[in-house]
Amino acid sequence: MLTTKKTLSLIAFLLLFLSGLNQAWSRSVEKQTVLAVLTLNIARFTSWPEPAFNAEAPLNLCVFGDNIVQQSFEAIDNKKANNKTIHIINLSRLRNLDRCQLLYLSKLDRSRLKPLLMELKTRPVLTVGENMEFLKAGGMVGLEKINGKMQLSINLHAVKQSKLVISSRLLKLANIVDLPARVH
Amino acid sequence: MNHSKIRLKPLLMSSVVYFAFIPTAYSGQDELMELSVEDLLNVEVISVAKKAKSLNDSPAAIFVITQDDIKRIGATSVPEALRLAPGLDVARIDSNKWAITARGFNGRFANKLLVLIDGRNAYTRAFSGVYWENQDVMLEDVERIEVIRGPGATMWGANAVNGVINIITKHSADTQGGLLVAGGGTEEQGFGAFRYGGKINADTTARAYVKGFKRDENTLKIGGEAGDDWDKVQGGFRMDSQFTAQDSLTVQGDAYRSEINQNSTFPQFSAPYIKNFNETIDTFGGNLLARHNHTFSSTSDYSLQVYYDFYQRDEAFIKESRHVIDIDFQHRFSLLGWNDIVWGAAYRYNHDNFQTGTITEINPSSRNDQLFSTFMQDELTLIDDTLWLTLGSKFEYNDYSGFEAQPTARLMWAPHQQHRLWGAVSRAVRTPSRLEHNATILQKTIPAQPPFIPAINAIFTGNEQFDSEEVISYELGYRTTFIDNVSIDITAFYNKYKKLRTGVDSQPILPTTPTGAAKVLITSENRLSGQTYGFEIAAVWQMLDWWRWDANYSLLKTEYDQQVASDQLGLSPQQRVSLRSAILPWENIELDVLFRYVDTNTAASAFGTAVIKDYVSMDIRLAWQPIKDIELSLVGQNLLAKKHFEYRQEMLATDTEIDRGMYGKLTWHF
Repeated sequence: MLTTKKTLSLIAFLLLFLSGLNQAWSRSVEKQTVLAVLTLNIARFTSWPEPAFNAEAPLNLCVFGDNIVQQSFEAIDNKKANNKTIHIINLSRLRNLDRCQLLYLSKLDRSRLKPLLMELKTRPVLTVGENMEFLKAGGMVGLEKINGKMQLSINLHAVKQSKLVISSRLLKLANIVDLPARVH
Repeated sequence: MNHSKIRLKPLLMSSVVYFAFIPTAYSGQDELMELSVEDLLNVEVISVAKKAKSLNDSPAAIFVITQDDIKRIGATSVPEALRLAPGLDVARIDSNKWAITARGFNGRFANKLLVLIDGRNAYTRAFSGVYWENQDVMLEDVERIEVIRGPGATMWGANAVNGVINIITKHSADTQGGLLVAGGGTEEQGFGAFRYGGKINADTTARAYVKGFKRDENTLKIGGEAGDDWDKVQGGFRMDSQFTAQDSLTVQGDAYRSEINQNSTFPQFSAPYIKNFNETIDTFGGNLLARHNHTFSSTSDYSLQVYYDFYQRDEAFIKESRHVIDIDFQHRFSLLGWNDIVWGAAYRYNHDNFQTGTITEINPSSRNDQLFSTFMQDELTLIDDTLWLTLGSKFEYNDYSGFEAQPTARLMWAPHQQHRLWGAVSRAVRTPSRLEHNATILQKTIPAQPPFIPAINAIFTGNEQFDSEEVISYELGYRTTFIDNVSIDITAFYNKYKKLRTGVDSQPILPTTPTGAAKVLITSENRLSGQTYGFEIAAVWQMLDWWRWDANYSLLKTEYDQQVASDQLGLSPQQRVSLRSAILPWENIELDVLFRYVDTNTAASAFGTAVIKDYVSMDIRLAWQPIKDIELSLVGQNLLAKKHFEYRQEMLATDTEIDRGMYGKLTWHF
């Protein structure tokens, strides 16, 4: 019993002690939150070709991911992007993608990612994903954490194919890659 | 033990209150909204290991154990990682034996839980169960472990009666570079692992690994060393190739060898009618698997998988070698835009060979078995993003119980983005094992009482008429992420079992010589029935970005229709609780604490039932990353007691208590 008590006091002490060290945390931001806000900004710097949606319609931002990803996007629901209201649609299945102007794809099996991006290739859907692998598979915008900071990569080839235009102000901040999807 | 629980509460509560008042700079996202892209790209970003419900939309009781969970709890084996899942009954019998099940009917030879490692079935026909000591993977290369409670027979086939465990390792593209793990301590005396992953060409990546460990012995319940120490060496590889835009190929394999020490208690014909001895088991095995995946479109693909699996074990009780070849085809496609159909067909071939052991004889000693199966499942989208109905069934034919149909119907309703409700009705069977059909085992010798009563040998005798056990299962589940930073997953179930196994004693057969022993033959028959019901709750609370709580609770009620059943089948713990705190107090420090409470339960065995007293246990891990690619960690396991008893094996093993353990570990990525 004595050992049990000792162990428990030790844990309590450890917890309190370590919490004192916590200050470093206050300077940094949680990645998933940044991803959502960055996606909002990317939408603001993108123009869709005319027929993609009519003037009054909202900008449908479709999110495919787990509950953590979906929750982070709640914060940007109803925000404005170039006179459009962002409307978040959480996808349960990768279906009816025609309604999406922006598709945020969190982790997806390699074998499913590539054919999906191939199918979206010529449609005016801005695809945003989380790494270089995503761009190589034919995705347009990749957001990756490198050395503690987010890096924005844009696959110009894929963007052009879909007739979307991304503002040069954003392109300047991005790591530009020009990757035709490997199979032609 | 109750003392410690009470004392703990105010302690933890006070820390909770304390932490809750520490503010973080970007606590509101509004501030972040104001930032420009330049600023956003310059802000210091941290990844927090939040608990995701990635399979949110499956109409089943699924729990996912992630790589991060495995690492942060300091698990050194698959069973230890499984302790994190709600509703799973994980008990360590001794250093090298585990009893694991879901929703009741536990035992070393528990037969109602199916286990798959990267699509390969780890469930053996020999006793209808899993040799857990044989199943290992490079834990650092595990992507996730999916734990599915409830029947999964429609997709995965017979024996997925109470649950399925899917161990999924990472794609080799995600394990590039080197990894070195080394450590040691009191119970985990020494362990090491090395993995290296590289690129073979533009389309192909691969990795290879080798690992080994030596684990210390525990303590016998009656005192003294348990002689259950063991060691193991295992190596393997995985190669993944995307050889065309639409075709991928995975080839992987593992081989292992293990020397397992154990203390056994065998019956014997003459006084003292029981023999206790130490022995060393030599066991080895391996597997090779290839899977080809062809993608037609994002909604249509097929896969063809072939594997070969082999193991051999050599112990006084049984000497067995088993070869399995399995071919599995699956095709997924979408129909009319609202049907997602998966169908498949599989064939499995088993060749085994047994040698007569001290108290065991298998007749015939060698057997070739076949299994043919096919399944079809359709997920109908009744209302887009809101209501889905899944209907399906497996049909199989095996050489032990013949034809089996295992259908399921599941409904999933998403009334709101943050609420999911589902219900299911399914049937599953547990097919007979080789031993149940063909073994003769001396289970126990009841001592002679001279001058009139001779010794009686209780002999388990195989019965080829023994048929499958059956369950009809009703499940109801609810998941919500409605409260900010909290997710709750509740599943209630009612399982109705029929044709459960019981041992039926024959009339005593008198000895033919005056000094001989009388015999009672025990045959397996499908005579028991009963029901289990209960619920499981899994809750996650992300209290702060750097502090997460995971709490699981499960209640299981077991009712047998026959009196003898609890003596023959045991009673699983009625309640289980686990509470985990995961803290990142500093960017490069991780602190994890796991508490477990296991209710009193009963293990059925040939030596009578054992009541296993309820217990509380605690594991702690503290890790520090001094530089980017190096991590040092210190782990304490089963800290609350010097030793505690978790389970008694059905027969032969000597009751062993699990010792407290500590170990240190170094992980180096390069």
